[in-house]
Amino acid sequence: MTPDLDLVPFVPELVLVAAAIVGLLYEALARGPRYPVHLAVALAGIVVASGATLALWRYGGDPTVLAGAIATDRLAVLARLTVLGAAFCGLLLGTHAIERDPAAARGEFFPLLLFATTGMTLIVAAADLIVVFLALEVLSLSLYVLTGLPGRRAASEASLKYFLLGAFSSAFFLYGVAMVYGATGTTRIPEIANALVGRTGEQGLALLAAALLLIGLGFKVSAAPFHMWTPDVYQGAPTSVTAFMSAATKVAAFAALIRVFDVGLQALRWDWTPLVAALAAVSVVLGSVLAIAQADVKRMLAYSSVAHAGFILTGLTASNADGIGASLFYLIAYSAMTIGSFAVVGVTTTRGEDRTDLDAYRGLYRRDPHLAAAMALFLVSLAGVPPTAGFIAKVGVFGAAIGAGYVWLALLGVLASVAAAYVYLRVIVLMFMVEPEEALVSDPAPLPRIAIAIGAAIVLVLGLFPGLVTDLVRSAAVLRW
Amino acid sequence: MVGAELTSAAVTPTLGLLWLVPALPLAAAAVNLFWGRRLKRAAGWLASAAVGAAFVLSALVVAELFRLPAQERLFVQHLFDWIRVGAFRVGADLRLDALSATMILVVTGVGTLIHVYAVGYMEGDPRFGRFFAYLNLFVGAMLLLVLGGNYLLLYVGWEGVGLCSYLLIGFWFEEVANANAAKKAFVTTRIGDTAMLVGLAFIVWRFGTLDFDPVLGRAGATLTEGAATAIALLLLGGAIGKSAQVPLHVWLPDAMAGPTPVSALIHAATMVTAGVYLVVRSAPIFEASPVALPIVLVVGLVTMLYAGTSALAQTDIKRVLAYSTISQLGYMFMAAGMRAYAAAMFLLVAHAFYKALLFLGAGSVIHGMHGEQDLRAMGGLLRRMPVTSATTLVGVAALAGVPPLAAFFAKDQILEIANHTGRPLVWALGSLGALVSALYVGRLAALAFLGRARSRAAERAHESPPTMALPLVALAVGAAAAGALNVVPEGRLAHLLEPVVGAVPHGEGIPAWALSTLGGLIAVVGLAATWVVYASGRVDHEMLAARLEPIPRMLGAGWYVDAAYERFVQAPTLAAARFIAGVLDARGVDGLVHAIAGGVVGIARIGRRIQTGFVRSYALVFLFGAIALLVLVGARS
Amino acid sequence: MLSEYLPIAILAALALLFAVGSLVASGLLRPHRPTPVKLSAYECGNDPVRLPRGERFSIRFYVVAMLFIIFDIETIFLFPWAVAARELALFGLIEIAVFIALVFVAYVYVWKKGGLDWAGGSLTPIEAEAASEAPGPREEVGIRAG
Repeated sequence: MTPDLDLVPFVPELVLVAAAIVGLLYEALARGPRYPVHLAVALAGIVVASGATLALWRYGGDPTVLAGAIATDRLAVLARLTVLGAAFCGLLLGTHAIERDPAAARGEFFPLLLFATTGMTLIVAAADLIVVFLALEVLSLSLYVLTGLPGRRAASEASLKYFLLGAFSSAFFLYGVAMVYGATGTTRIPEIANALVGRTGEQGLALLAAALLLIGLGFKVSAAPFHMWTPDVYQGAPTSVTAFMSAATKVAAFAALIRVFDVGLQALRWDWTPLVAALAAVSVVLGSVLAIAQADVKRMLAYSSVAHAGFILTGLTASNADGIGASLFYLIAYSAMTIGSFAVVGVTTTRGEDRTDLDAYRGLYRRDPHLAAAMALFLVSLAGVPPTAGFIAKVGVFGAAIGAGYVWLALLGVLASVAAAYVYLRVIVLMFMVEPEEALVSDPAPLPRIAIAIGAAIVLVLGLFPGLVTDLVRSAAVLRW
Repeated sequence: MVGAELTSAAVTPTLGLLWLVPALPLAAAAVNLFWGRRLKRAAGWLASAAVGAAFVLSALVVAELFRLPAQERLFVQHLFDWIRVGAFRVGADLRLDALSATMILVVTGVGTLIHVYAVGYMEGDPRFGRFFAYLNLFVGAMLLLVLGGNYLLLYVGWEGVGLCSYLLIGFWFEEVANANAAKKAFVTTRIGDTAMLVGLAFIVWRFGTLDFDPVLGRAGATLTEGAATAIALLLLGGAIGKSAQVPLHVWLPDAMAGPTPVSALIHAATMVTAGVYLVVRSAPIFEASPVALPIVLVVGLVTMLYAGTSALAQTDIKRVLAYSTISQLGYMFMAAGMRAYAAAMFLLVAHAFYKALLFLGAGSVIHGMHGEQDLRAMGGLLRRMPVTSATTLVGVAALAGVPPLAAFFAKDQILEIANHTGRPLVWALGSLGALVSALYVGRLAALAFLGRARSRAAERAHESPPTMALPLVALAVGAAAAGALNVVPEGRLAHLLEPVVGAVPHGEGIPAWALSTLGGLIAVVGLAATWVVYASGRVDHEMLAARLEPIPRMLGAGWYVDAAYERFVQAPTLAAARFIAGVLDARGVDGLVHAIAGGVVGIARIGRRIQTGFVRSYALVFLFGAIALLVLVGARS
Repeated sequence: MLSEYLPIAILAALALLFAVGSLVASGLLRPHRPTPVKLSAYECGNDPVRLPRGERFSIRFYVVAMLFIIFDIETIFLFPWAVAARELALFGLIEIAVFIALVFVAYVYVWKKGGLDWAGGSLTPIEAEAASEAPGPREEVGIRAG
């Protein structure tokens, strides 16, 4: 009795897990200087997984494989690639952090990063709510540990907070899964869709499920009011981990959100889009306003991340290919900007985690013009000013929301963007127009600069030539099931 | 207008190289921007080589294009989809036809010579590499402007050119005057650009696309007269700004604050010709309106006379040339206003040669005299700077319209068309303008090169290095021979351009030979008169000028237009700004802003109070949020 | 559909009502005459020596607990496999081998990291830090968010 297994769409995860296990054993058994080997193993895993993912772009088999657990559509491919890109950059940043401070370093960083990545690539392809939950836990547990890995007080505290609140939100999600099962008798997302289509009358249970699932995933994407953990965790976690998780977690959780809601609960979209719109509105406003009051760059970027979650949710209110495409574009653009900006945060001074306050940015242009220019680019993009990717992304999601009739939400988004522009411009002013007060030196290490260059290139290219990825994003927005 | 009926040619290996024409200067700009300092002198050669290679490529591509039959001389290279929002799409398309072919040859050809010249001229400047990066960017943007297959790409190039002009005019920003000139150029052209942007929005609204083919092909059929007039005038606004036509001309005389190669590039090859190109390219839109072309004609005519007379009384050698450029551009607009597009383009090409030559010659003079720009301090340079003087004198003769040099044919044809299409007044004023040009350029030559040296600097002037002299010689040959392109109105260039811009208008009037003879006479007489007044020593020209006061002073100040702008536009604007800033803004708007900001900060403070750092309060907020969401669900179901 | 759950909701409401009601009622009805003796701690008759907050368990308890769970789960999965081993044949064997291998990796990791060294053995860096911080009064955990 051998089941018919098509493992091809699952190869990226298999590769990542294999690399992670190799790394784990190596960490346990090897002695002496270990980071080059760790880095090589992890990089190999990510590169091979990316290759395997890329090959899936033209996958012609069933929409779901492995007993309906894994979806094979292009959404899964594109989101996986984005996650893997983020993981690649996170790896570079993490390696640099270890080189800089070998005493506080843990070799477990590498396998944990790979496990987290596995959870993320799995969740974007998960076609069964149980698998979604499983992947959610894999990525969350890995991230909890990654957050607290350095063992500093702030990191441990952030890790514990993240864990407690994460467990809380997982409970909501799990409850939602149970409700879906109660309403439809299945946890497979395509079957949920079929069960809900054409059903008339009482949908209360399914709606309750939708709300609970939205809460669970809303926590992961740091949508307000489920965002409270974000500033503390982003600030407390090592900057390399923050960079990785701010981008990759968002991509992963949003891809899952898209699959669960736009496939599974498509029939109920008139009922859940107002919920998404409400979350979007609260996130956009709270994120933008609270970012203003921050004096720490990492906290500021954390609130900005909340606002950006709101913008992406704005695109999803359309619940059609336009909206999904716009949100996917936004996710790619946001990943590049946020990784880039956190990478800059990591090397602004040689003192790493000690100096993430805004004062460290005074006169950065004088100290390190390239770094200041890159940071300015990321901030301008976060603010949504042309000709950067952030501008195109915002135009896309607002357009989608207006097309779906959520004019007020788009308007609110524009207003919030204007308010938030102050946040970003303030840093730019500090960097370019203020004289440095202290003798700080930026970190000249090459690895973070590579990540920064990658981010900057993506932000610029997507801003100047959005047409290059329009086709990819649009074909990924067409969901197959 | 038959442009839209051209059929697009298939890609051949040579035509496929078209994208490299703008890409090469842009790539070189990027290299110089990042590594210019390290490259040192090589930066200049790299920049020159990039533009030179672009010129060679342009020549190859254009030759390939002209090998095709006349109605197939169009090649559109689709690089990628640039923007796609729903049904609206803009491609990154390069469009090569006779019009853009002419432009790219001029831009890259003259541009190359200016680059080589600049290697000598900028020697020793601390920001040598940076300068060449901007110069390359300038040329690249201009190439993008003329090669763009749609209005948006054209606009990108347009803005790029504007940005580069700002950077280059203010290149020596250590002097406040230079920085101010740069700002003036940027702000003034910006006024036109805004009009143009509105025009583009109109086009999108009316046509749903910005591609040249559908817009220009259907302009006559789609647009009502009112709409055509609106779009044409808005586009004209952009052209007036960029081409320094009255009333937005004020930036160009100041723009010579930049290093001389920049002036040459702005005046000859890039920037200012963009306006003429835009009008010629958009001709179908202008023709669909009953009033647009007459307005173009009037603008050109006024500008031509205004700037020509202003040039008569300038004392700064570069300012003479700047006003001269404005005047010549007025000529081009005049021609375009009479539908004589080919004649406008012919003058554009010819002008590119002799104006580049004159500017580089002037630069060489300034270089040789260690920065002296005042004509009154020069004199007798012919003996001390023979190559510079001889070549510049060729440019002078060419500009004045001495047969058989470039402007003789070009100007003559515009006047002939004016005469033959029943516009005697235009013809008469145009002829007057021709006389004025001969006078101001003759004055420049006489004061600078002839007579005796009037200062120590003039006595000690020395010839410039070969990198500066060689481009002068090349340009002199071009200025002398450019007339051969189009000896009669329906000549070779007009014939080549005909598929794009339509046939040359013609009719009856005074016989062409008579007009030409008159034109030649005007040039010779004008030059001779200036020689008598300024160089022969028989007339005390300073006395003469003093007796004519206040006319020379008025002309020297550009008819007080700048002063009037200062008095009636700038001062009231500043006063209004001060009022708004001091009273309205401080009390009203700022009060409001502070109130809002206070509110935001207040909210942020409350937010911080909630963000206590305690997990239990976080979980509580989470719970409240969840309950609110569930209530929302309950309320809806 | 939701109406099926109505009885449960009513029951929950009644339970809540009863609990709250009895507390409120006893609060209202009982006499209130406190004396020092009544208010003193009556657990074993002694005042607590110190607040329980300072009491900490060694991290090793948790490590052992986790190890137990890992192998517990392994056993749980082995039982059903053993029951159906014949039907699952080679495929099942490979599957369970992969599973055991994965758990074994975890075991090797914990072993090598010193998780099984109960007595003696060097402290892991995390514990070393915890130990160095242990003495002295501990402040409230939590950075007041800035």
